Amino acid sequence: MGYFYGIELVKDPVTKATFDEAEADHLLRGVLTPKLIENGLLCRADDRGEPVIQLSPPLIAGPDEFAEIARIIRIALLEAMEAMGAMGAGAQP
Amino acid sequence: MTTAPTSDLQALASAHLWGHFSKLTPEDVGGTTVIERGDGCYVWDTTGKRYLDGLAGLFVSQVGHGRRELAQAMAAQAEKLAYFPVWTYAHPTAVELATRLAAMAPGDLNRVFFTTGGGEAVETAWKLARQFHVLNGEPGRYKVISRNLAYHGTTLGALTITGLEAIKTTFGPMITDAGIKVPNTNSYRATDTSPEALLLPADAIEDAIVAAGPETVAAVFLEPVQNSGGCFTPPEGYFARVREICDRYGVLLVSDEVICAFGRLGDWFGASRLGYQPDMITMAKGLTSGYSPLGGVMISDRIADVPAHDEAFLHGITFGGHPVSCAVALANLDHGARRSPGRGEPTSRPSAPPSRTSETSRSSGMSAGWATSTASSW
Repeated sequence: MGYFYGIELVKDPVTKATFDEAEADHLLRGVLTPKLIENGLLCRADDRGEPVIQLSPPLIAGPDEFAEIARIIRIALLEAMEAMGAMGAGAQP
Repeated sequence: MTTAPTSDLQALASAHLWGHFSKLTPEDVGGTTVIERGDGCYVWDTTGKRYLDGLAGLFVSQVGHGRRELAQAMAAQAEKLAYFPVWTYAHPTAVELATRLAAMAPGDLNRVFFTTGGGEAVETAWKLARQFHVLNGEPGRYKVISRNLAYHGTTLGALTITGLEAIKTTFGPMITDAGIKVPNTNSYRATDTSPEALLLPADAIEDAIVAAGPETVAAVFLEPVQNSGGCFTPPEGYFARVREICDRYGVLLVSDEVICAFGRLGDWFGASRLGYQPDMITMAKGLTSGYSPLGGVMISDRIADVPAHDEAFLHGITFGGHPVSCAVALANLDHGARRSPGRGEPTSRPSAPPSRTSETSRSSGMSAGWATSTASSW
C-alpha cells in the first residue's frame, strides 16, 4: 500500500510452500542481499516472518526509480532461483 | 574533513562501532558498506558506488537525501536556539510544529508529546494510557495487546509490546504478563479468505481482552500496515471492528505509525488513509525525513481532558521536541504539502486493500500499486 511493499518468497506460488530456516538464511543473506547490493539497490531482505524483500523508497521516487528497482530485483530473483536449484517457481520475475 | 580510505573505515568500524542488530564478527562488521552521502533517491558509499535507496534508509527519508532547504532550516535554527527543553519551557518551533500536527491528524488528536524517536513514543503512549486509566479510577488497567511478529521498539517497555520472540528471549522476562499477543492479518497465509474469516484476527482481540480480564487491559497497539512479517495490510472492516471492540471494553486504541505516517501510505497519517480514529498515534521516522531525530505521540482530547489531568504526566525526555528537529520537521512538512494535492485529504482510497496473492500475481499487482502511488506521491 502506498510506498510500502513486501514481496514474500515461496518455493511454489500454488502451494505457497515455505523455505526452512537454513534455506531462507541462504536465500536472503547468501544470495539475494549480495546480488541486490552488487547491482545497486539497498532494501531489506527479512526473515523475521517468512522470507520477504521489503521496499519503502523515498516518496519522491518516480517511474524511473521503480523501473530500476524492478530490474535489479528481477536479476537477483533469477540468480536466487538458480542458486536454490530452481526449486521455486515462486520467484518468477 | 577528509574521509579516511574505505578499508580503514571498515577496520575502525570493526574495532569500535557496535552496529545495531549485528554480530561483532568480521563477516558482520568487517566488510560493512560505509555510506557517505546522498542525493534524492540515491546514496553513495566511500568507494563511490551508487545505490538506489529502496528502504528510505530505514523507512525514514520521505523527501529524499541532500535537500538543501532542510539543511538550511536546521542551520538557521541551530544558530538562533540550538537547544532548550520542552520541560518547564516551550520554544517557538515546538509550538508551531505541535499546532500543525494537530491540524493534520484525524479527529481530536490535538496534543503532541514529543520524543526523540519511535521506541520512546511507544513507551510514552503506554505510560500515558496507564495514567489515563488511573485517573479514571481504573488503576488495574496496565496490560497491552499487540500482534504476532509486530515490531514496536527495543527498549524493555516497547519490547514487551513487540511480537518478535527472537529479539526478546535473551532479555526476558519482559514486563511480566503485561504484553499479550494476538494474530496478525497475514491474509496471504489465510486458509479461509471469506470477508468474515479475514476479520477473525480482529475478533481475536476481543477474545484476548476477555481472557485477560477487561479491567486489566490498558491499550491495543497496532500498525496501520504491519511492517514486520512483510507489510500485512488489514482486511476490509478490520479497524472498524477493532475500534468497536476497544470502545466496548474501555480499552484505548494506539495507532503505531512510526513507519506508516507522513505520506508512506499515501496520506499524512495511516489512520486517515484507512479511515479509523485512534486514541493516540505514535510517530517518528518520516516526520523529519531523518534529517534530525524526532518522534512523538498525538493524543486525543478524550485522554488529555480527563478532569483529573491537572495532575502532571511525570515523564520526559531531554531531547524530545529538540528545536533543530522541530525546525527541520516543519521544513519537511512544507515540502510534503507542496507536493501533495490537498493537504490532509486522502489522495486515493481503493475500496479494498490490495490482496496478498501468489508471488507472481503480486508482482504485477505491485506494479499497478506503484503506478497508483506514483500519481499520489509527494
